[in-house]
Amino acid sequence: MPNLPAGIWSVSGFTFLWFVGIVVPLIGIVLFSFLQTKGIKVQWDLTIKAYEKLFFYGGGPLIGRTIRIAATMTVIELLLAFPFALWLAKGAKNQNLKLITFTLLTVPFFLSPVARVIVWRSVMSISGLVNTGLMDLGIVDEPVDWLIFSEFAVHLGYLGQYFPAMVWPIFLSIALIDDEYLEASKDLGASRLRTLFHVILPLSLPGIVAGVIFTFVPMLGDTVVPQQMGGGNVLMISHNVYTMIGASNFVMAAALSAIILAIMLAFQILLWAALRPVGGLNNVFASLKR
Amino acid sequence: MTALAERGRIDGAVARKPARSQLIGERWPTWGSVFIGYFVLAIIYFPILWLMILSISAEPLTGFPGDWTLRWYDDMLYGTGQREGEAYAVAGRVMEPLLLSLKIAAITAALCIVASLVVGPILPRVRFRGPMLLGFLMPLMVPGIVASVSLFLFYRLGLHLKMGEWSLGLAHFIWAFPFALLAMLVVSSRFDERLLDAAADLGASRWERFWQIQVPILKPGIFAAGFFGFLLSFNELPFSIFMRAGDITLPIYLWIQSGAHNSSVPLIFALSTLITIASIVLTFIAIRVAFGEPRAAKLKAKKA
Amino acid sequence: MNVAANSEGASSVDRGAASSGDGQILEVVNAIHRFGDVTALDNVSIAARRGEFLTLLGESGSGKTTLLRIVAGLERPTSIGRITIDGADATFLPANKRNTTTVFQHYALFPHMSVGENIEYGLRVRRISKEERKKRAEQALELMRLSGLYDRRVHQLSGGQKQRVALARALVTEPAILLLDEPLGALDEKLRIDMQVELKELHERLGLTFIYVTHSQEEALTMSDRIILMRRGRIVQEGPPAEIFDRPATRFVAEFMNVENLIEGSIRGVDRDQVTIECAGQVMTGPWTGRSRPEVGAKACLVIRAERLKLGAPPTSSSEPVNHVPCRTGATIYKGKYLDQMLECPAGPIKARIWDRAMPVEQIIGFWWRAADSAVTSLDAE
Repeated sequence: MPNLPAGIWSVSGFTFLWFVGIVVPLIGIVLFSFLQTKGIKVQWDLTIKAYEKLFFYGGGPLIGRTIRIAATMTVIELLLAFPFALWLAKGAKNQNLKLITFTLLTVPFFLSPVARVIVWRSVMSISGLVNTGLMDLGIVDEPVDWLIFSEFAVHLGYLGQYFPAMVWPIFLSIALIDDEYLEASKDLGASRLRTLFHVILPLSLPGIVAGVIFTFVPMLGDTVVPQQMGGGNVLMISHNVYTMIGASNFVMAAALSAIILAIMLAFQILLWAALRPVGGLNNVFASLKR
Repeated sequence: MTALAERGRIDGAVARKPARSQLIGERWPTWGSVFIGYFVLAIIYFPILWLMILSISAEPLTGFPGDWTLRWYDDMLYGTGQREGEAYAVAGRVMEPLLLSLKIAAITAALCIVASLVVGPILPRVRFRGPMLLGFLMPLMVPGIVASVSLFLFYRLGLHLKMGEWSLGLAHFIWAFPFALLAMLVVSSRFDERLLDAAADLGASRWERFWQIQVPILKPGIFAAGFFGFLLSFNELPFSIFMRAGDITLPIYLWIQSGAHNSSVPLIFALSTLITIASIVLTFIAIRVAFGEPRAAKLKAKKA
Repeated sequence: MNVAANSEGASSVDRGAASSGDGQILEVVNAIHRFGDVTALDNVSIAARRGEFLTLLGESGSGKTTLLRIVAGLERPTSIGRITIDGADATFLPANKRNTTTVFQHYALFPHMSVGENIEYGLRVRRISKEERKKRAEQALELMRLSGLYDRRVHQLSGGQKQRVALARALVTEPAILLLDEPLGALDEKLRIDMQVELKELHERLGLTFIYVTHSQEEALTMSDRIILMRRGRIVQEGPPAEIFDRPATRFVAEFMNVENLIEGSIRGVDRDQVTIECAGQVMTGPWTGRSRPEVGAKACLVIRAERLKLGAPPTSSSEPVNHVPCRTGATIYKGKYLDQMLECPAGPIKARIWDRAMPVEQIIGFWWRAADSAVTSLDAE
């Protein structure tokens, strides 16, 4: 490629560094979880002590809870985001409304996650906006105490935090579906529901998979929402990893991370396998060019 | 029979465009999905707006806002305030994290621009582009806390390196690069390589082709890469938590303070409001630059 | 078949003097190019005279564009004997150091520059002053009848205008050779015909050497001084348009030049350049246009254009040799200006062109043609 200013060598070099810089550490953490440490010195004996300890100290329920909350919210986000994305891509006519909506869906990506949820604490607290309102209206006699620092609050926090990440990929994949397919489907006498399930859904599958990954994955490791909305009542893995590292319990942190990594890997292999029939990853490049 | 009628209508070319929204827009259960969508958007934006309102309220922690005041901003920036005999932990100490965050964000932006300019134009044209892209997007597919711990254990315990600003910058770059790369790919995968042939043919050297042809055409991608790098770094938390020595970036500062006692919360509100407004302004500028330019060109075209 | 040897034999002796005058402006010797396992160019040599309009003709994959890109320096050949441009050795010069410019198939105009900036680009990288650049760009625009478009954006132009801007951009640097890579391919039919005339006029006015790549035999015949017909990375035949058209060397050339009737048979007799071949019991004669000397018993192909066939029996008074073949009539195909009449004869289906629509075709039992109107070609080596 004589034309390219940064030739194939710089790309290869960068790719190599990238793999050493990020992929190797991810593999490394799995290996590390089978070792022991003294201070920051690593002892090179394989052992599964960390995993034993992890489960002895309640690691199972912790991981279970984290996955349950993340999975629940991923499903809810998908159910909410899909019809909205469908409308944005194929239904919305008003260009200004669309532009405003796109902006509204973009801005949250660039805001501090802490700043985005911190105010819930004051809104949902016992003396906060919601409880004051409910009591003034006579709906409840005593303040509702599960509005904040509860699983409900964590779910609520996740809802707003990850909605755009689900809408965007689905929107993009539906927008790329040629209108002619939809017309053809109608032309052939398919009902709207059939068009939805037989044409739109399969063709937007890559977007759905991307959306699911981009919400489920960060929810698993979110540090902000469980802390701000759960307030110590809803412990999730991020909190434990944080305290383990704080206590120099590196191997247990690694074991916990390795388990999450293994679950992620299995989950994503499953998803990508589901994507195979529609062209897999190289399709990303094809759709970028449109 | 209907098919034939349909064909006829489609062949009537001009009638096609409006037909599509009739086909889908009005008949899907539109209103429900629209309501849900904007309801969730309201859930996203309510806390942001409420934060701004509370930040100028005298009693931000209870019930309805009122008694408007700017004292929290004053306290936060100049650190003179005292309440219930307790000096604010926040007071006047914002500047240092802010400067550090700006510095690291600028470095991350620069790294993102250079790296996506190296990888972006070539990646769509190499043989192993699928696996390579997967590798570059890895940080998006691993929970932040896991990636962050992996990096920490690898560099600190594995390579025995001392954490510091370099590791913060590295972590931010690893987090932001996938986004920057995707933004660059949107532009670079459409880049017509024949333009470089044409330039070479007209006598342009390698550098001239790069600076006069490739860079101007990839400008939106370069800009987006820088923008992603800057803002994602500026607000990054999970990677920063471990990949630092004693350095405190603005999000870390916010995170620590918001976990602490209530007395500093009003100041956190004020600070968050400022950061949010700055981020929104920057995002709007970016959106304007990204979408504004082709629009202006189109208008110009219409005039001519 | 070494074309260089064919055209200007002694050129390699005193190139310096010859090239500054009337001689060769381009010489490519023994170019070989492979893309992986595919051989795009199989040891090809070409040469062009100063001021010549040379066309590289061939279907896609014939190597014509690769050859052009090698001349431009955009492709580095797998192996090359020598490239000489305007008397100087250019074998290892990169594209930006060669005194050639290309008009690309899809124009390749820079989308971020105005029309004026596009045209000036070649001058800009040559560090020519702004005023001079603008002056020369305006002149080039005028030459291409595009005056007033200097400040236009590229995307505001029509296809034909883009083509002219691409030409202006290539001409403004005053190259020794102008290379055109299917420049009319993206234009619609009518515009293409207009541009053919315009290109030919431009060539005559400027006296510049044009090397033109196309897959259209019509374009090649209309504009060229000389045609090089390529197939699968090799040159099949080269010569002036009339020669390629009337005297195809192989069956492929005849087919490519749209000769409708190709009758393969065995050579039965050779009389100087007249060859008699036999196919399905029919004996036909025509002038030999094939490659090597014809040999009795070898396979050959008699080619004859549909419009040269005449229906009925040959006039008895004819003094020149004719071929006569019996037939039955087949389908008649309406073509607007004329009719194509299918004829069934022992050698296979034959197509004849009829200009007189009222002609009764049912009773026809044979057709004939002047032997000199047909040609006997070699078969193609696979």
